[in-house]
Amino acid sequence: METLASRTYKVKRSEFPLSVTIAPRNTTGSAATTVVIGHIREMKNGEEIDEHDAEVDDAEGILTYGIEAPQSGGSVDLVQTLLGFFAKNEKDSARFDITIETVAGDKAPPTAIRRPTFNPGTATLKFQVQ
Amino acid sequence: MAKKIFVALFCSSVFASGVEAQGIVALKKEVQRFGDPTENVADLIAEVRDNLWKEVLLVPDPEEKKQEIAKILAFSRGDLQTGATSGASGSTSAVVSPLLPAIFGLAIENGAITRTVSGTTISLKANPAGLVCAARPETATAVALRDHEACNRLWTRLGITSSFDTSRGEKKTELANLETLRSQFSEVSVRYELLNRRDVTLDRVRTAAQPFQEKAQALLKEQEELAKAMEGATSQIESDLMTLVDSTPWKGATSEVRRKMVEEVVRKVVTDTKLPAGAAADVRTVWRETLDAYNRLENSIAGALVVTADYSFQRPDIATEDLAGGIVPKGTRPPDLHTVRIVFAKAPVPDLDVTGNVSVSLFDEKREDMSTVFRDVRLGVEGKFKLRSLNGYGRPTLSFAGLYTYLHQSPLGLGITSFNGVTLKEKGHIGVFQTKLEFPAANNGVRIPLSLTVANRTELIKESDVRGQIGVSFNLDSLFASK
Repeated sequence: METLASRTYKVKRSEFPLSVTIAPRNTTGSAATTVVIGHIREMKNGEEIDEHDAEVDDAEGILTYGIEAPQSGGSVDLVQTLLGFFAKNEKDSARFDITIETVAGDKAPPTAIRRPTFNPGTATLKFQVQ
Repeated sequence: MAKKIFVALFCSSVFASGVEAQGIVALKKEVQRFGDPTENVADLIAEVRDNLWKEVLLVPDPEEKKQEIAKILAFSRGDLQTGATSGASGSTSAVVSPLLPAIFGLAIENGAITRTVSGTTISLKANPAGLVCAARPETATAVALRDHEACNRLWTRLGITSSFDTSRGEKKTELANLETLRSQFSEVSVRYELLNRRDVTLDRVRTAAQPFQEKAQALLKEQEELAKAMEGATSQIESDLMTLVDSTPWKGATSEVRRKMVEEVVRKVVTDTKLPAGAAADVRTVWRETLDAYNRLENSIAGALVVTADYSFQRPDIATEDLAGGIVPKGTRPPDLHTVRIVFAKAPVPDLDVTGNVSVSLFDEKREDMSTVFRDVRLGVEGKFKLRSLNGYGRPTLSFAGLYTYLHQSPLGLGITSFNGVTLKEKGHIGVFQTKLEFPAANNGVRIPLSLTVANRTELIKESDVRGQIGVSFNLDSLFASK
């Protein structure tokens, strides 16, 4: 997995399935501080050709899910948007750390959804698949 | 080359003008983070890029942005008990709130509620596990914010309170037949959180969580559509910011200048971004609906049920003459008092917390002429309204409370002397109504309660009574959190 820009990655088909972990840091533990995970959309030439739900496992507020290789061949982008909602009493340092890992265990550089000025904090992940 | 010229011209304009860029409100925190050298700059750029849609959507509505900011307050909870209980000689609480500070709290209160003799009580409240965990600088903030991962969850539920009566050591007329203790210690209590649903999973608040999840999914859809229309703007801002942070002026700039540089880049891109009017309005509507649903969810969680149990031990003064018909002979100490209390709180509607207390007090021993060790039972209920925020201070609260006490026998020792000659040997009923206004300061780190209490009688005197109480409490958790 190669990082092209922040939150944009070039991934080989052999590196799927990817594993995504979203973990709260410096939060109050309020259930209101949460991440809403968007569909995984398959895009080809800028057009959406398919989408899948992420099957999310929630263990004590730590969210994990997998991203399977795209069904269609050729050059495809997988795009996913995450919305982070932070309760009013969260500090500015509150964040959700996002860890992306290939099936072989290679990890992408860390990224995070930090407490935004206005809810929700948005992060768009893009995986370019050759 | 063109980019270098742009950066040079841009930087010179920032330095030359000295004028703060206007209009960046929706991305204020995101831009401020560029002044912190410990942050990953590439990730901060992605953060601005992915959140740019909010700034674009809010451009026509700056007033609403300001109102949203005013809602954001740290430590706005009203369910913490920092003062003494209603039975103390100095207390501003007819009804006890369910939670103690996460680390340490201090309160000084003057004016009794059910005790005959008013005094001043100093209460120290500590969470032993919280204190130990907060000693580690890396976890202090998390502990203060009740992050259960930061400290052992089982032990952080335990809190200890010690109260000291400052009038002990000096003898008042009403205490003429009691020898006051050399120590000012008056009460110690231990409290344990039995149930706290205010920090549990969304499943507990499914009724409010479901509409929020639906609105959030709708917002995701709308935002994804909007992202297509904003593709040029997001590419532009990413590219301009990458160029900026790679420039020589950036590397030599102070935090404040860096923030201004980023603000200027964002402002320029936002100004140049034109969205189809209908699409922008749709996203704006869904976004507001999502935030409304989120507020309802937050209120559901903040108002969920909390149940705590506490045990307190009180030691009365030594009698200087026979008390209660010789139950307590001169020179002996009346029996110690054990009290068990259950406190529960729930918010049935946003901004109203209802708290209930039930307690039973038992004497340590049954002496001759005492029918039983049972001393009293107390039932209390309080409705606490969170008022509008005082800008920069926090939210004041206005509460109304009723407390009923059934005194089964002479109170013995805990203010036994009556200065109007009435001796309580028979069963007694005490009704108390209290209204309390609590002013916050320092983001709720300091609170100043003022209360007015009306009672049909006190523990010793069968006459109606109107009293005022005042205090100041310090929730020192906020000091740890601000590290």
